[in-house]
Amino acid sequence: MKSANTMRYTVSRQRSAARGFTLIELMIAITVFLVIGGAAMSLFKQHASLFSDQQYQIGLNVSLRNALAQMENDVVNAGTGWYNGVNSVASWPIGATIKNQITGGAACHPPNTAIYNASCFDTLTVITPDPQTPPGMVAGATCSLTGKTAPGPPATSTMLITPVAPVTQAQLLSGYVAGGGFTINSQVIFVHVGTSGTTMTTAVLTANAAASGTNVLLTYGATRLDGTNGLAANDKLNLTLDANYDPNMVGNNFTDQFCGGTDWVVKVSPTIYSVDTSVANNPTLTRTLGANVDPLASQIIGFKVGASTVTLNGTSMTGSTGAYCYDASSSTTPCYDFNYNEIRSIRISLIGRTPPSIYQSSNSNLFLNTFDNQPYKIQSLSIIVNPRNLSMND
Amino acid sequence: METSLSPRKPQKRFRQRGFTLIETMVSILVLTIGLVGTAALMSSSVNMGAHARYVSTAALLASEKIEDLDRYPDGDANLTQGGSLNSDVTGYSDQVQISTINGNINETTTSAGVTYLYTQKPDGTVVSTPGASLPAPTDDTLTFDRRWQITANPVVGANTITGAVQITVLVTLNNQALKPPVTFQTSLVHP
Repeated sequence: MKSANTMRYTVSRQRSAARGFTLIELMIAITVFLVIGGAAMSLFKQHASLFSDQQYQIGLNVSLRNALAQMENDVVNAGTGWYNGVNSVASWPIGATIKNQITGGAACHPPNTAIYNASCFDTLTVITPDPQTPPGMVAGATCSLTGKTAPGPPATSTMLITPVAPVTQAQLLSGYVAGGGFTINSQVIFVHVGTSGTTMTTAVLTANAAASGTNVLLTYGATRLDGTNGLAANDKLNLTLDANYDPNMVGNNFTDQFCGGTDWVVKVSPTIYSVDTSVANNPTLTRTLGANVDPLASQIIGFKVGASTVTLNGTSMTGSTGAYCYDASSSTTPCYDFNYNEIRSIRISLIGRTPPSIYQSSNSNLFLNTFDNQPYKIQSLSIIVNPRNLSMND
Repeated sequence: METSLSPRKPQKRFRQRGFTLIETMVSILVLTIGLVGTAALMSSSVNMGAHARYVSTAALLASEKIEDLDRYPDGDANLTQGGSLNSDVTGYSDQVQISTINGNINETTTSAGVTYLYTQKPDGTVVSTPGASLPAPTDDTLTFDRRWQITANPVVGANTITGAVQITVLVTLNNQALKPPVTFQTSLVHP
């Protein structure tokens, strides 16, 4: 009997020790867990959004750097490749042209929107001779003219050019490899080697070059009599187009007269950097080479190209202020009035933004910038490039 | 019979009992430490990402200044020996201010005694103001100091390069408390 009692006692005590939580204990535990766990999770969540924000900014930085690296490679070689079998020219005329947009204001960027229009962005054209096409020498003993009183197509001019050994007539017609040669729509530069320097003009071929005896006949849009162009279609490089030159400069830089035995016609293949604004919420920096249009960086909201000259209007600017010009049309120091051959150094600045939609997706952490109240962050990078071929001999 | 079976039953129940409050709280503590640790890891990763971005920007700014100085012809006043990497010397130092949220990009350039402030605005214009200095920084701005030193007839190894100049550029991020500090130094012999 006694032993049975003891047994029962033992059983009940052990049951008591083995019982689970009471409701109170459980609720305290859950509350403590919720409070501490909640705090930890909110900290975590805060950092997670910081983390992804950082990732977007790093991605932006990488994309800007890639674009600038590509431009650095191209711009440093601006104006090289001219000596493609030609060494009778003391200095070749041109390496890069720049179209500056100076309008600004709402036309470029309507306030309180994420929209950037074409008038925000400059255009940079890097000019190098087409490596697949040899240069041709102007044929004959006299000088030919590119100019007519009515410039550009449908008015056309013709000129005979001749291959200089070891270049063959076939290579002038169709290039060293397929895709080259003086074919229709080729942009060509005429170079006149005068006694006081080099003068030039440019035109677009309106027909494929044709064999004419041992020579090659070029047919192209006519220029003005002073060697400038009135039509963008005949000067895609913007080389002579913006012609508010004073007469001296036109006389110094352009001509429509090219002479047999000394002067050259060169096909060029320009690389054009511009910003494509056709998708309103995603301005994209593109690189155009021939028929290829490659996107370089998306969400670009600033692309400015400045240039510095070391000489201006023939006057040496050694020891100058070194300021960069952001309006190619201006003739006030440090600007150069479209005298692209005066350019010695190019400064490219690029501003990009994070995709405008990423901050909208998390309402709890809505970010708005302070200049147009849109949900994106920006970053800028800039480089200065001295095109090697244009910086020499100064 | 009953007595011989009973002792096993409670023993089994003893093994199956739940956690005590203490145990639960200890485990929550451990879990919290783990979560806080992960958050701290993310935080330090964010900082390191920012650091890498700033150093990369500093490197680009240094190369920009090197190229800027390299464009001048030999004997140009902008390449006169002078400057210091330890202090700002007029004509041999400038500043670049970059903002992630206020849109304007500011850069001062001092050469031949004239300071220019370039301000590139979100509407695509660039304003160049002679004599102006940087606007006051806001929380999000990065202000980089650039100093350069120009040494005439530099000595490279055992050789003196007569007629050349050595350009050394140091870029420092001066308004963000980051460890290690963001600096970048590079050098070029011109021409």
